[in-house]
Amino acid sequence: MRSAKYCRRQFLASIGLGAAALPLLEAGDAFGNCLLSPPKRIVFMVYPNGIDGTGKSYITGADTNFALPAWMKTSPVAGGVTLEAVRDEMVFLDGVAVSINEKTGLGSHEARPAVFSSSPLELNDGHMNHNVIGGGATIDQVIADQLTKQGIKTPRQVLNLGVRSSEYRASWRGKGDPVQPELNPYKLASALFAGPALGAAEDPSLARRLKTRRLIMDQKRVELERFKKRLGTADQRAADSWMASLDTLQKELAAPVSGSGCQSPNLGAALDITKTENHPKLLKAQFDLTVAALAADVSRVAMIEIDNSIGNETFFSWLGADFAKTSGTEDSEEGNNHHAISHQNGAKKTTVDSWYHSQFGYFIDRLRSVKEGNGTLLDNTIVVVTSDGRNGAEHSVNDVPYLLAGGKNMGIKRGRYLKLANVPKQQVLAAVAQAMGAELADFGGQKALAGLR
Amino acid sequence: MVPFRKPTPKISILTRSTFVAFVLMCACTGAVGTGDGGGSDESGYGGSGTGPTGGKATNSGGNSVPTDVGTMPLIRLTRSEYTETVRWLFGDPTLSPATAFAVEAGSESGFAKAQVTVGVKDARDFREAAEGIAAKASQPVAKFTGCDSTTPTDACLSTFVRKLGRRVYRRPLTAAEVTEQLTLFNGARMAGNDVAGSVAVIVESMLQSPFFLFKWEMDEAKHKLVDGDIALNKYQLASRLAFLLSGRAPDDMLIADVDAGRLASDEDFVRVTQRLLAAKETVTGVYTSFHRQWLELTRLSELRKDTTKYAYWDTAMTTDLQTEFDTFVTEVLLNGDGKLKTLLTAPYTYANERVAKIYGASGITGSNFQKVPLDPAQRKGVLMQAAFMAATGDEANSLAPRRGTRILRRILCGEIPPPPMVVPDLPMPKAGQTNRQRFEDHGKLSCARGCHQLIDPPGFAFENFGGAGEYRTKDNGLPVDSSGRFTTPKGVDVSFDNGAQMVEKLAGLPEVEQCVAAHWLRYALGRAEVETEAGELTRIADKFSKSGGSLSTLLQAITSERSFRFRKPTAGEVL
Repeated sequence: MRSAKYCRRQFLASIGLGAAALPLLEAGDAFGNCLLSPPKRIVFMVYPNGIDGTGKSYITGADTNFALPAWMKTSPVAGGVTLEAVRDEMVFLDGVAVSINEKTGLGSHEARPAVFSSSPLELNDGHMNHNVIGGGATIDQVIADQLTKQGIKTPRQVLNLGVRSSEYRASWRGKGDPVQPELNPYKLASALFAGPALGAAEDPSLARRLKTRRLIMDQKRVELERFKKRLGTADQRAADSWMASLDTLQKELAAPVSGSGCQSPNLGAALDITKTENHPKLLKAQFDLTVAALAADVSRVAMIEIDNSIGNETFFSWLGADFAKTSGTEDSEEGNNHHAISHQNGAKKTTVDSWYHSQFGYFIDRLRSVKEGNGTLLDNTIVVVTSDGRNGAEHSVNDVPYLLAGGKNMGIKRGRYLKLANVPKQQVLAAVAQAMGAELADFGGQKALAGLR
Repeated sequence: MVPFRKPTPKISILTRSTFVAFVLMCACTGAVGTGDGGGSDESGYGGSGTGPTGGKATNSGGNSVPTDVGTMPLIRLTRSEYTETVRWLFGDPTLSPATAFAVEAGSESGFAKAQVTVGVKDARDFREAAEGIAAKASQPVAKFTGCDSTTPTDACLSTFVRKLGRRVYRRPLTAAEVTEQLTLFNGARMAGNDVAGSVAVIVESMLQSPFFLFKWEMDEAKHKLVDGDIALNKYQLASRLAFLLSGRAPDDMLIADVDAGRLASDEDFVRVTQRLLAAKETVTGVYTSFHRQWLELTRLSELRKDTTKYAYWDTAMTTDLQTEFDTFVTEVLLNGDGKLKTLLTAPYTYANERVAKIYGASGITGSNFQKVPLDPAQRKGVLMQAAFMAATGDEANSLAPRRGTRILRRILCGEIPPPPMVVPDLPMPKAGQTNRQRFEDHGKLSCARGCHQLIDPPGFAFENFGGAGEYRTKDNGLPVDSSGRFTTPKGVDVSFDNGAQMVEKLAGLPEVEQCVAAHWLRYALGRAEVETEAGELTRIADKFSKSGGSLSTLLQAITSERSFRFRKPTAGEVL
């Protein structure tokens, strides 16, 4: 009988990967995934305070004949890649309704739990502190569940990471069950790419540790069952969510050296993950890590949360003298933080969006730089980028642009600008989920948007 | 005898529909509301209950209408509670295992609450913390367990597991639970771990137990039902007392009390409460934690100011402002008279050289904090000290709406809806205009009027304080006007010439005492009070008031009430 390992090596050979790349896909050995074509991946990403520059200058034209605004054609600092440079890989969707939940009286400040969800936002047990919760599972979790059902096993079902993100989460396993992202790329890198190099002798202490962890988890399951029996119906979600998390950790244990032998990207010296001045480096680190993790098939679904949904603590000192002042954390006229800048809705906001877009361009370009089969990692990856709202000054959660990239091998017709008429976001999310191979008739009652593929 | 009327909440509990309606009003019509849902309960505070251990207490006026208590929320240990508890459990004050844990979110009670669901990252974080603590704590293993380090007997290990489990689970382990731990130990040995490593596995297991991480101290025993409510068992009562009054799990003395049946009578509760309140080392953390959260000063370290205006402002300043605040609160409550009025009106603060720059106080040198007298005509009490003023001020100026909002929500328990979706941005300050005049212009806009009529006036009282909390008499070259007038949520008319006057008036209002009592009750129960607990809250506030606003009396009153010792069953719960 052929081992899974052999199967995977053969796959690698068949898609033309050289020996040097072999270790990259060793990760799946323990699962026995036999891949006949490169795996499909999807990455979701959200950043705060609006995505339309100032709303005064956006994309013009239609379908394949369109022009990007000047701010999408420039990168304010070195190292960025403009969306103009990757426009042939993109689908610019304009006019998506996030439709959070009008009854709550909330806007883009609190929209994040709704952005990728099938359900509207809900207020958490009342209204004090404007505390909101996601109303249902988000698309990243739904896709991951679908992949699991199809028998696809990866060390991480969803790679949830973030950059200086707090408060409202973008990823939810279900109503009131948020997923915490890993905000520390340095810690995450060592977790994902730990373990001995390929071919090295097995580390007996590591093997013992994993065996012991499994023993404890088995015992915790028994205990959680007992715990659950003492809880009322609503509180049982504590036990249920924990049990589900143990299932996921158990799967991780099956491939403890998930990126084994893979090269962890060089993230440089560990930086303080809370400080605003480290924001660009942290963003780049999480991007590089995501690219490496997708390449190594550590996960097929990633969610990247950038900043919190208001961005009061983020100052863009790297964007020049206008941004040097890092005082004030409010949305006042004088403030220089992301939130204040978005309320001012002037030239600085355009520069900030220009910078963010050039970072998204960098991520897309990095995916494109990884060869896979006869194409690139980007051909097998759909990237979905959006914001908590269209325009930060207006707190608008309708007509939001969604930036799509990649997915050539999943049939995405790229190099287009599609102006939509306030289409519910569920339709877009259902469409990309279907492109991922998820058997999803609809998402939140909305059928998939036609015409993406 | 006052005829009984169905009590409406003394503090604001809005239904969803009232809330939405209020938002719309605020956004569109400029109507002003108090946020108490239109409640018109005038029955007043007073009357005494029959005590919590008997049947349901009566409401004020002696009518025998039962006070239904609320449910007990399932509460996970906060990062601080986890840390303080493992430091105590293993006698190691250097442990800092929870730094990577998810930051607690706000909650409807107004206090930090850990997420109830346990996500993958949470479970992974618990495991990492447990592994780190266990490896350190279990050495040397003979000393840690009291058993032989190479061939420990089952009997000896059982004793060790029982003792450790009693402290970690905050209740005795069942026989089955002890056996499970021994099985785990043997499994760990079989997997190739040595004795110390296998003992560490027991510790890891316990620290990842839902019975450790959730405040839900029960085994398989049946509940005791009284009048349809569940009486908390003695382990839960001890846990409630300990987390409220010491910020961590019950200590060994409380465990001994509980196990010997010495936490049963009202006198027992008084004794334990007084002992824990007198334990300075632990109660200090409780007082600072409560007051930071109550006044929303938990994120002082992120406070930024315009350094072109305040050259002295840096991150060291934010740390020192936290110290000023903590020192003042602790000194008043532990070494002073422990009264609310003193917290709100004391004519002194604690400052070092750096903080003294905000006060313009001379002669204070070095980094140590010392007591500094304040000019009571200018400022007095915690609300006018630098920490609160800077935290609620703008980067270089006053910020009346935020200051007023904080006063309304936290001192007067009024409720303020979120701002409407679209409000025009504030205009830039103009020449010949004070910051107050700028906000007055903004507040006149039809879309902004509803909220700003409510929140601006109490904020204008602090116009004498700039962005860093510094005292000023001129703003933009013009004289500062800090006079004003507003009506409290309970309908009391408050007028003042300046902030010190307003603070003095607030400190004398019964509704401020009631609001502080409500906040402590929410802190103690981990939830907002329910409507039917209004009578209880009245009793608590009354005792608080009669003691002259003594915080220890307030806490004593809370722990003696039925809502502290009973809970309503939740849907689906097997009794």
